[in-house]
Amino acid sequence: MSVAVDVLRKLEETWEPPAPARHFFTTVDHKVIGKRYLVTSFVFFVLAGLEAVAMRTQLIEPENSFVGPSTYNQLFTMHGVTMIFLFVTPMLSGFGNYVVPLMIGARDMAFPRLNAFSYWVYVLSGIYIYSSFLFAIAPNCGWFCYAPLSEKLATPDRNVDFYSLGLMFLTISTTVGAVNFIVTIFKLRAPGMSLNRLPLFCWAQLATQLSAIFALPALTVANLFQELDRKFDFRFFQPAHGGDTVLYQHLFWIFGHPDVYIIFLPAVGIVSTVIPTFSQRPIVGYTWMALATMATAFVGFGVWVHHMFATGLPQITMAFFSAASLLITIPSGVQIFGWCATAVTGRPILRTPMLFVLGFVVVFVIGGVTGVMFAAIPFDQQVTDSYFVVAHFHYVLFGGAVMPIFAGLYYWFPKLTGRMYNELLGQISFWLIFVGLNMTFFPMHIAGLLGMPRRVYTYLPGLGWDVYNLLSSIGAYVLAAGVAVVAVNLIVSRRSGVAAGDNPFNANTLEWTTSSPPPHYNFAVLPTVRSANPAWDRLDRAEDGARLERGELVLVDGHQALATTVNEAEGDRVLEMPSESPWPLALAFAIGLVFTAVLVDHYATAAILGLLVLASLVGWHVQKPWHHERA
Amino acid sequence: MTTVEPIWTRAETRALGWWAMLLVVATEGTLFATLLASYLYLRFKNVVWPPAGVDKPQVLLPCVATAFLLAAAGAMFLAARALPRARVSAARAGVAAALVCGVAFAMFQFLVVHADWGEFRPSGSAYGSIYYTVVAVLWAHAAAGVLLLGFCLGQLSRGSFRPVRRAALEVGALYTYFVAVAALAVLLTVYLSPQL
Amino acid sequence: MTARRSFLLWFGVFGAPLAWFLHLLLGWTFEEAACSDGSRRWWSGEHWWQVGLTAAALAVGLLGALAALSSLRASRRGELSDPRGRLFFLAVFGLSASLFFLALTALAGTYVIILDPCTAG
Repeated sequence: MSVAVDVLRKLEETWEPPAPARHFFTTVDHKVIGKRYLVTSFVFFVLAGLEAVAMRTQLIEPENSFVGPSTYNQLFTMHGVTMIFLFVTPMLSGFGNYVVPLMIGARDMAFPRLNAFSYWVYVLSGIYIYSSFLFAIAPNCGWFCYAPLSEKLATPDRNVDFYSLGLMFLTISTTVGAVNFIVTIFKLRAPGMSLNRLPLFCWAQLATQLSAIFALPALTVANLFQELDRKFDFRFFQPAHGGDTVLYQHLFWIFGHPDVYIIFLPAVGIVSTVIPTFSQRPIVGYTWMALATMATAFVGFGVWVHHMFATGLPQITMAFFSAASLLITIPSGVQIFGWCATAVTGRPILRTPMLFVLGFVVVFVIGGVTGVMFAAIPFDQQVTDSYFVVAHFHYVLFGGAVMPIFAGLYYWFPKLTGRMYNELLGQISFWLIFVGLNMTFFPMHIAGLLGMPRRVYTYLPGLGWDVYNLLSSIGAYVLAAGVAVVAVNLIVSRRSGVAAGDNPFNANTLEWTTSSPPPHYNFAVLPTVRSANPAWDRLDRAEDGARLERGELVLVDGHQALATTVNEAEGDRVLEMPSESPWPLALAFAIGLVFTAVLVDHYATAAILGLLVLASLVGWHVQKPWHHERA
Repeated sequence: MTTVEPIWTRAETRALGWWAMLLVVATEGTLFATLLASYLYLRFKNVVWPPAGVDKPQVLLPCVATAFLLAAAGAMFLAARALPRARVSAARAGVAAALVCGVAFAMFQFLVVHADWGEFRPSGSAYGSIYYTVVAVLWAHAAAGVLLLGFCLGQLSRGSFRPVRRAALEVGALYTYFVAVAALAVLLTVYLSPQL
Repeated sequence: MTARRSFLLWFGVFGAPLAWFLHLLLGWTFEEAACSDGSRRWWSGEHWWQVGLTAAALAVGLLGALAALSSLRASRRGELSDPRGRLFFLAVFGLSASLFFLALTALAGTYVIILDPCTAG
């Protein structure tokens, strides 16, 4: 008994953070950073939602004057930019950040300081982009900001510069985050967690982050070319000087289509986690579920031209991409069947997370059906840039990403806070959201087929669009109410919810084998894994307890974690992990200053601030790997 | 108290930082591939390339510059082999040589661009725009590599051989190979293919 | 596991997907080269290039599927040391992936062979 007590005491001492005031700026704990991502991205979700409500209010009736056209352009652009770049991807990263190390039985991410850095860059880039509203020059070119609209001639003000530079700044965060996730999943898994025992949520994160590595450079190039054209009169997108506007579209969508899978796949990972738990059985067809995730990510790199079917490209060019766009539905279909088979052959428990997941299936399948319609080029060319497109992508994004996000928020809330959410409020929030989203987005299919174009700030009466817009706008208010109920439920339950215990849902993954919330060191004994459902392996978990009594696999000689081999997850080396550090914030801030100087054309200043960046890099690397301040 | 069973003693396993650098190479490599694909795309679209009034790019100096980066890669390869055999001074010499080669590349490449700047500008044509962008991005990556090698050299100069210093050397070597390959790709695409 | 077995296992996983991707990239490049003003003089855009590329991609994909099948058989016969079932998993993964990517390549190849080059869509 005393060995176990001794071990726990040493772990507590080693991993305990310093005073809260300093800890706020210097923490590298993945759980803290994960929670920050979740909260910050929810704030951006609310901001983007308010932008949407403003738009729907403007469109509630024809020839309305709630907002003017210039403001409307900023609203739809910022709504898209915020939802895609500042909400959904960071939110899913937040889940990954919190859950992945726990799910693989690790003590932290592979690079804790890099983790902190990626959060600070995210928050600062969000502030950078949103500061444009203060000057009433928010990006107004649509969330993909095509050339030639983005050229200086068409948009002389700095709207587009906030967009391009802001995204380049944010991409730093996403890229280093991807590196961190991939190395963590490859190298920090618990002993015995070979690739065929990796939780599907981690397979999804792996597919997502590998996609990010290969997709983000195209966005950077697009943004770079855009800024060079604007600031220094480069000619990338100017046909009169040998450039080509379609080049921008290629570059953007080479990033943009994989990006939708970067959004979709982690959400799918959440679904693959929630369904087995709420069906109380392992997932059906684990191998094909893992394959479907990786195959979707990979094929996602071969479909981008389907966003450009109306640009006059040769038929054979479009054929390659049309074929892939049609067949990419197959892996998603396999996953739907796998989930349904799991639920049907298990004992389904219809609590809030499961309701959101079932809602996801319904909504995403509807979005998928219209997606297959778009893969047929003749149909696509008729409905391009109409509200039919808007309907389609909101079904796949809201259904495919936001519903699983709500499921994940409710599902992991007990683990994060140690308390249960209110089940009744949860169910109310689900129905308000489900009804609201269908009411908002379904009528858009019809409005689109009746000819209503997207991105219009108003429309004439008598075109037959009025009733559909009215329904959409009312639906948006219902949807907003549902989101408000979610927020209230989580905020109130955090204080006064019932105590949750370690594993309130009897889930199958490792994060549920430690306390709620987990201790700073995650696991006292590093778990050994012998199946894909380790929390249900009672004997193995009892053996962990026995190891604690013997002081084995506890790694207490410092801030230690265990690296294992990539394929078989056999023990490899003991890692000394960094603890608190001010350098991630310092470096993020220095980079932000450089981007700000470039925004306002002060290049000499930017160069000098570049020295600050270098100094922060040096400080980071000179810091000793583990610094424990206790005497 | 036991902390961990003595199962693992494989000194040759890669440091975590090496895996991170592999992924950085993947993403930056994709960046170069995208830039060079953009170059080819614009070239396909333009009948006259380079445009009228712009000479074909020079070949000799860019080849010399690229050769220096290839030499740097070779030097880092030798250094990375020397260190695990505890030949620290040989490793240090290799890194120093690579650093000097990197600086030489930067100088020669600067001479090339300086000569070009007198002939044509990025604002003159899409050709100028893509040319200067590609070479500037390569130069920036090489400059970052020089700083990284300086850091590696600093690590090795602290005397004893330690695992973290070996990791720095492996990471520096991997990055150097990447920049050398990128430079070769740029040479073939931007300097040699217009000669056809 | 021997080097040959290891190669067959990983080729079974990556062969067909890479063949599909290269088919897409190269085939698209050939078409763009044939149909763009600046590159037409080097690339005649004769159709048999696309046919040949498709055939090559299908051949590599098929080899990938066969490699995965071979790994699966070896695993079933107990020839691979596989205490955690990872190799069996990768063999099934590879075979399923190969079949899917072969279908992708075949569909794209069918379109490309049927359609005329340099015709606006």
